[in-house]
Amino acid sequence: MTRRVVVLGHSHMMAIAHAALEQPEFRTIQLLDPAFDPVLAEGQINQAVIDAFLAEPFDAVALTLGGNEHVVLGLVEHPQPFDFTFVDGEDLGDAASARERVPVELVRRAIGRMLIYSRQFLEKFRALTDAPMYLLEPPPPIRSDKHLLEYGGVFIKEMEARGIAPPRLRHKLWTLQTDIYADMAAAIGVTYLRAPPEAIDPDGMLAERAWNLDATHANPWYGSLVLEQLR
Amino acid sequence: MNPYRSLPDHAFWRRAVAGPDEVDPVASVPFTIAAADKVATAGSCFAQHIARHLSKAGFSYYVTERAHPLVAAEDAAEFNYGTYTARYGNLYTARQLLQLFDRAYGHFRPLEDVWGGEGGLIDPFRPQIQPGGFATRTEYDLDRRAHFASVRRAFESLDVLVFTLGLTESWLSREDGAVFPVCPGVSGGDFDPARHVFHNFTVDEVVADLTAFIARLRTVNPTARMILTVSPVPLVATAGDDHVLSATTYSKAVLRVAAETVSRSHRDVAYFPSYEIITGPAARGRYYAEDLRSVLEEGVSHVMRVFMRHYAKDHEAAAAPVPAPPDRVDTIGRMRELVKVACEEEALDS
Repeated sequence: MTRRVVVLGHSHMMAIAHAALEQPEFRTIQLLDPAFDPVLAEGQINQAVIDAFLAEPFDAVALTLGGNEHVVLGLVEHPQPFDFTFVDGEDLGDAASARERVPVELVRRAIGRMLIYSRQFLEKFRALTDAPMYLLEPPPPIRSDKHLLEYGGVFIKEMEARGIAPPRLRHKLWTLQTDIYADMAAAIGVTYLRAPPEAIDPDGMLAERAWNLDATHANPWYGSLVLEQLR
Repeated sequence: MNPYRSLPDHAFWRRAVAGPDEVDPVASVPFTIAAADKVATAGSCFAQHIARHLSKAGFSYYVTERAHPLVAAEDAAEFNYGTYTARYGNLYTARQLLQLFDRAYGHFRPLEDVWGGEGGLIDPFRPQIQPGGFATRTEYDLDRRAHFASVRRAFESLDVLVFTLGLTESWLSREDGAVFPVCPGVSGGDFDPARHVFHNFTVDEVVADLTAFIARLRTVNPTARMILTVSPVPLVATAGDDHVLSATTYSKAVLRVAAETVSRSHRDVAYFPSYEIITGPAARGRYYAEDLRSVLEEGVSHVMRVFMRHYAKDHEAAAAPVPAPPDRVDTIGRMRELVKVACEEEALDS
């Protein structure tokens, strides 16, 4: 029997929604739809979201919540270029020491503060159903400066003014964010689904085939890989 | 006729202590502080109160080691950014201050350099600076490298250093004399009697340490001025064999004598009597909290009023609002807005 999956979420859901167009076992709900605004008010999920979610039967649920918090901190070079250290022996060269070092715990907290809404939503949403629930990992960052500048959209002005942060830093910010997501999911009783390995290049960045025509999202091919994971 | 007849009011207890509504025990000061002068702070925990009030009072409180703007203000405070001029934590003894200078300039490298901790690494010389400790040795080394650079920048460019002497009792490394701010094993590390020894500094030692520090400071900053104070906060515990009250009295007496000796023998070094304001009979003990140890805000305010009265060079300028630092969240806030727009555009592109 085909598993019926409902996928809810923010912008990263669009890659999945496009991929799911011809696949009736997948149903998608876009939380950025103005009809659901505000999605969460005074700690409660908007009844319109709940109604849409429960409107049809399902066997499993997947969510994409936020996901671009790492972009806030590290797509565009900060006026005070910074870095942080994950593992011993990392970045001891002169070039690295020119960047301001921030304790990793403080970067973790900065990202965590941006995820308060996602955590609240996930906690409330988990209580709505006993069905298997997945929190989808956001796609890793795009390495190519050329692509980012070509499809940067609203970020172009900032990127041109201040430059693009080094890929290594952008990847570390994404990794830190995904660690926080994974911990959050585990604490709430939701399965954390890592990004499809086929969509990740050897350096851990988003594989070129998965790049969307913007600076921060993946494309429907990436979405189709996620659907395979959920199927 | 006798020599007392011509003395000013402040020389007489009845007029200067028993009489006034608010005692002001400063007779004179050797220098004043302009609103633009960079005032740095260091010392025992009472120095935190002074640091906190300096900028509120209109002085230019000098901080060389700030949290990155991505860090929320409450996190920065919890990680002790801005508690003092640099992130060195409490410096209870004059020897610590001297060793901080030597460590920052690479003249002293303690053998006991790092402690393992639950979940993180602890700096033995600022064990409470980072909640949870440092995540990796690399983070530890890089943070301390940046910390020492901030300490050097502070020493080299401050105009006035306010240093609060807190303790004479301390714990030293038997191997190289390194002074720990708290006994190993209390906030990290493990106490080992073969490696760690108790020491109660004498007046001569404190005077020698302060004298050596001032000499070193003026090699990198010849015009640096210094204000010495003695913390009115009693010892939380004594490791000696005296009663803790007697031990406190001894310790504060040593520090008070040392501060007097050094301030009288050095140009541009002053003693400021915050100790007397808090502990003196005129306060009638009301500046202490229920634990008879913590100093209440009312007492700190009294100290700062007296400080302002004597050290603010021109009160009008000093009372002027201090320009706000650049918006800490501007860049991050702007990016959050852009990400929101980009994500909404992506969501609508269906």
